[in-house]
Amino acid sequence: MKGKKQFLTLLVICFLGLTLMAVGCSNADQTENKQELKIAVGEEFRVEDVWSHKGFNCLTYESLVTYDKEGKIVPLLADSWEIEQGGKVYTFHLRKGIKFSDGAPLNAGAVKNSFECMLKDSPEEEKRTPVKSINVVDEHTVSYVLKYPYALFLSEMARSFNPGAIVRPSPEAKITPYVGTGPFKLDEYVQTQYWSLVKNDNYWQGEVKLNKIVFKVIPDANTRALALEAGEIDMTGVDGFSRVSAEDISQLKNNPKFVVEKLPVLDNPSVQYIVVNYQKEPFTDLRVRKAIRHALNREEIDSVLGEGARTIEGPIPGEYPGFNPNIKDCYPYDLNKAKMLLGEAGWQDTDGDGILDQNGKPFKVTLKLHGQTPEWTKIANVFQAQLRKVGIDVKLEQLERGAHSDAVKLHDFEATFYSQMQYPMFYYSKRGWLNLYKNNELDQAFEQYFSSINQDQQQQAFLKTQEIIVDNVPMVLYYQTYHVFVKNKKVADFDLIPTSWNLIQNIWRSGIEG
Amino acid sequence: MLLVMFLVSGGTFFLIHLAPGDPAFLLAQARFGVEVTPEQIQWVGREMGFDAPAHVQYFIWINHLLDGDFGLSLRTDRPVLAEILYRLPATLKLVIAALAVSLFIGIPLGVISAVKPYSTLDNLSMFGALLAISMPGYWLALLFILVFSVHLGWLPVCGQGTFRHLVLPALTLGISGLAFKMRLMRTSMLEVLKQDYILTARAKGLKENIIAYKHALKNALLPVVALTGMQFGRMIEIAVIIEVIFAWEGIGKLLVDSIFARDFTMIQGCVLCITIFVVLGNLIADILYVFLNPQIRYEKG
Repeated sequence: MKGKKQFLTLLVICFLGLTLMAVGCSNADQTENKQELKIAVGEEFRVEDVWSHKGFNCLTYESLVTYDKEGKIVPLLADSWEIEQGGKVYTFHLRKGIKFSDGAPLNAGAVKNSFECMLKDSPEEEKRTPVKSINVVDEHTVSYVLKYPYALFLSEMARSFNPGAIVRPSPEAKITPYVGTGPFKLDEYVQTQYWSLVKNDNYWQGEVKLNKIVFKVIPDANTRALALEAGEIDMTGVDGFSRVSAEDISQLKNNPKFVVEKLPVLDNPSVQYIVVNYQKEPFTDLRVRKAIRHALNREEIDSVLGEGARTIEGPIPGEYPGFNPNIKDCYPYDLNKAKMLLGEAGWQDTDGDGILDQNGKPFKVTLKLHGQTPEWTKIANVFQAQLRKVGIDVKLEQLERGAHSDAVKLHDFEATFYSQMQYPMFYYSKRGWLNLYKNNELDQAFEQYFSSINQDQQQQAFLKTQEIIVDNVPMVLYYQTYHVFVKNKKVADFDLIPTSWNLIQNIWRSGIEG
Repeated sequence: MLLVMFLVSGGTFFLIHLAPGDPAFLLAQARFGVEVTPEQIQWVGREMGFDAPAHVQYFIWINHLLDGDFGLSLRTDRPVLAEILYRLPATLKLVIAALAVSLFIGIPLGVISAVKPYSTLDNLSMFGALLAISMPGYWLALLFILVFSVHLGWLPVCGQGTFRHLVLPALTLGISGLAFKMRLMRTSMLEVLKQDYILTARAKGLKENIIAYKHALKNALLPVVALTGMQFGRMIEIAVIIEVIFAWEGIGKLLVDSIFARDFTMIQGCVLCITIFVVLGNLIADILYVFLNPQIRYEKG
């Protein structure tokens, strides 16, 4: 009896000890108002590299221009600028009195030096950049001379990382070799776990209320939502690395402790699509492509997508500046029209099996996708069911990510999902390299867009590109993903900027209440 | 052991080079973001030496390895060895804690079930074991977080740092191992208790409990110990999911991320490292087995 008793007692003591330790130091995460904000991100993406894209760069490094609430480009470090010589020379006038966080003044020399640092650190930029040289005109005026007229130069300069960030090498800098002019500066970095920013006491725009911002690395979307509910973090969804899943969105919206905001991404609309191979039968026939668009019930697809994404009419969403309103409702949901178009193109159901056929061949399509984008899987199933109604048999083929991108690059597909990278570069066959759709008329419109210096001309060309794309239907379905941002109510409201990487730019105006 | 490492690393190298998808493209995406330009992809291809044929690349890697240079991560430019060593303690802590959970709870429960077969405790334990083995780790992890962190607030949701952070991940990782060991221990004990020498001990007049704990236990432990060594490797595999959910940055997650990004140097480094531990685990299990074994022969004599 003795041995067994001893053993059992030991076991019980172990258990009690564990429980006591766990309960005893219970969740003491209650913040006394220390003005410390905790944000969850999905990935620690090269924190020590100033030039890589991330959502918090705008808090530490600033650029000459930036975006406002409507996605327009507005002054930041520069208060005005001129574009001369047919779009080849951009002259910026810097604001006076701005200092870097180490006290050094911001002047034209510093701006030029910053660009040179960028070229030194990122050798692959040498070839890509449109900038030929930079001239220091006087202490507060700096001129960029481009190799060719480049309509997107201002939007590149609005980036708070490569190439637009204005940085200064300084011995006071932590984690990266540079200091910036932003409202916060980098402080601590514990690899794979978190990094923190502290406030810049000399911030030129005004006083910063928050003392510290901690970015915690939480890779799993579900865990981020749970951490938010448990109060371990105050905010998430601040950039492309910390998405909130659609199911979590609905749940968090119903929770009075949180504020959920859905924003379009205006600098680079996060658009994805199903594209058909216009060079392969039967998609060579425009009528077939149009028929498929008419056969898709976008309302049903939207309900499946839920919060966080929705289908759109053309390559850019309605909120995007320069959206062409003429392309709205070009292809309403109309099964009869779809069947009629397919009939005209020679597809009939001659053997009564419910699938259209022509010359003995049934209308079968394989739709390729990879499993890492949840929206694709959701859409694929509905797509399959909807096309079945007009007699098209869709087979789904799920590939590994690498295999999928291979297939897309080699145009080895009948239909596939993919994402649209920068618009409009993506469709310009001379610059874009996927060439999922090629059209001379389209290229001409793009030539005009890139080389025109007149705002009106640019606008015209931009509208035309959308019309051509929608008329020719290379993509049978487009959808956009929203930026979904969630914060705890105790964080004061501030203006959110609807772009990929500047979302929380104005957070320095906010603070923690109560 | 060296042979195993050589074979495994070589095999991995060629396998991942066979994987579809242009490595330069995927790497460039991992480094620069989804919107890569053709110039960036070309730069990656040149810089990372992808233009050389696969076996040449492998020998270059081995060459550097013999100098102690594991190379730089193709994705983040940080040294491979440093990255691995930084994350290794995290995974080891997790795996050892999980093993501890499965051993120190599983074995006693198994023993008690065997000593009192078909009792309420036994039936409960067996049912619990079945549940534990059937539940998917991902789901179980989220359930634990929901109950213990969000609703009860006893434990933190995720992250590393204090002992409290270790509790949930170790529990989730260890629970299937626990169930397994419990059942095995029970079966093993029952087998041993039927043996002749146990009968002899009873005939000698020794108390039932001394029989159970002194004689039978040591012998019944043998198969469980042998299996634990083998489980070490499996644990690292399941640890990947646990690591992702609990934001526990360890080798498992590093390996998976590297595979998706085609970060060849990191993959090779991780695989080598994991191989070493799996082999070590088996070695330790073998040694323990031999250590426990002679005692049987001693007793029987």
